[in-house]
Amino acid sequence: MNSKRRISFQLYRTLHILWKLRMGTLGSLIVVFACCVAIFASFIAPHNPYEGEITKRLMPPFWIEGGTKDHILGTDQVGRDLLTRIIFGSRVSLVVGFASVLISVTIGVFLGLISGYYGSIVDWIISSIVNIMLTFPFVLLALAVIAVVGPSFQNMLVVLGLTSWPFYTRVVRAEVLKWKELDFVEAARAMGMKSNRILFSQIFPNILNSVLVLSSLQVARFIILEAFLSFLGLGVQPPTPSWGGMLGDARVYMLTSWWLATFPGLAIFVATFGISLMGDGIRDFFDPHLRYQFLSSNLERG
Amino acid sequence: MRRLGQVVTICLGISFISFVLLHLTGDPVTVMLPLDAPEEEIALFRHKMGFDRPILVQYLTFLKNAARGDFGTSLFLERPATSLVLERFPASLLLVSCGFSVAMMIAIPLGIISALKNHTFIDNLCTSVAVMGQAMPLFWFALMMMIVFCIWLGWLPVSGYGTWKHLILPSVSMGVWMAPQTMRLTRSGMLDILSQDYVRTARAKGLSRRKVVVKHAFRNALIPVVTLVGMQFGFLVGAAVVTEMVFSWPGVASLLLNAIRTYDFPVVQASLVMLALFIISVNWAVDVIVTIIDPRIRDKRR
Repeated sequence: MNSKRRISFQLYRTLHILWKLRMGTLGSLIVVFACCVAIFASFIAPHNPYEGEITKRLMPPFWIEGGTKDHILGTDQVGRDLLTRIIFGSRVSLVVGFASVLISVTIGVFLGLISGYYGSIVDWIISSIVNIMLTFPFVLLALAVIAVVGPSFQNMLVVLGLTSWPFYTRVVRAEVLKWKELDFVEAARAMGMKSNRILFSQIFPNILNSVLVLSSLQVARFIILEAFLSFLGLGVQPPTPSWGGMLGDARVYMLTSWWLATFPGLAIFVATFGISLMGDGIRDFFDPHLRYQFLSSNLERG
Repeated sequence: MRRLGQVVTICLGISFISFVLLHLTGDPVTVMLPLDAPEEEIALFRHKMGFDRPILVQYLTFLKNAARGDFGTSLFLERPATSLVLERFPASLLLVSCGFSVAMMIAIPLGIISALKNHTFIDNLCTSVAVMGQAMPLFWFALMMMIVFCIWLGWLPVSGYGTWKHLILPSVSMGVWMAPQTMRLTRSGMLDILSQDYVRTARAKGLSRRKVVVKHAFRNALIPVVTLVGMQFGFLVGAAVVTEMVFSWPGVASLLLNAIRTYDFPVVQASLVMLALFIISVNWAVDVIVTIIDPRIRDKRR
């Protein structure tokens, strides 16, 4: 096989997998788009997100009478451009989503590894804590903790991260229990490898897939939770633009200005939808049965 | 017996969390009293609430009183916190059970249909709508329904409690929130069971397709659904918090939320602990139901 053919084969293979996972690809594109919007917010936003003209308050979107092309999605209660605030709001949502996942992954995976691998009393303690936290609706827990420590961006990150690690611990623990019985772990132990090293260099890489899939679904949940907390006024504090906070403000003006409640929610919806699709795609990609399908259909044709 | 031990650990855990909540900021008195309270009043209050005693003693007293159903008096309403919570319970229960029924009415038929018509247009449509439904923030969906049905069409009241008209929007929002996951699970459970030997045997015996689906497959497909509902009941309560908040529904969750906002700690603790007890008893009941509908588990226990 010459190099040119090999490249075209690789290209074909990649495109083929992307097509098989087309919903996941669509999701990834949405996520990439949202990230770009968040990063370049100050370049693409048409107005200043913090300053509005009070004379132009509560203007409808441009296709309705009274709206102008200058404010495509209309303006809010103090005359700030809605589109601009939605663009800047993506920053809060994405940062909270990914950062809280990072916190809960670190804690949850670590405890799950220990609890699954070492067993006995450590496992009992960790599993009890996990059971308690999973029985209880952690929305309530997060609400209560934030109310006591005071609402702020950092507190929200920490509370979301600290209240949701048990999901990871449960999944990781089950996976470790499955993997640690297998021959290659036995072999590593026979070769004299230390427990810690077996755990982190032999078992850990195998459970990364499950963690990745769970994380992508968690990011979506965190974005919705962040929005809900900000909606209640317990999350990001004004005037920082956040989708949930905008929805919270919009409640008062719902009778007259429907666009204030519609578009920020639509933004949350699109972002979480994209992330969920991406998560499903990642899961399909790592699923051995499905992957076999990709490869076999490649072999038949290529 | 093992189950009972689990329940006790969970109760202790929740009571510990709700107790610690009070002490998160260091000194609970500063949170509960206004900033400009005179020195002697603070001292008096501290003594009255028992905050001047060692923390372990405080926790044990709290536990002892909680076991008798006494969480102290509400700081603002001057009434026992327990009775405040108890009188809000029926409203929450009504909301949760109506939301649950709506979810089942949507999810189970759709799940069965898409399993029977696997990989057809109908199946794909149902699955994509389910993915979208999972990405939809509950409180935004509730707001949108409010705008359409209450403000534009004027068919239903915006919020409140009393008639069946008040019940429609909250229970539909909760049902729509819960339906996608249940539908996907019903679908995969049905698919799994339709490929089992006993279903093939029943078909080969000459039973009609309808009879096989209803009598043989459906009953077994329900088992994972019931188990999931039991496990997810905490989340259902979490969703009730959101719904009660948006529709000003006078349930436990809105009481809790108000108590959190006003730092009314006896009420916060009472509602947290009692909600947890409620969730645990539902989990327990679900376990019992599963053993009743699943003869395999029933026989094993005997």
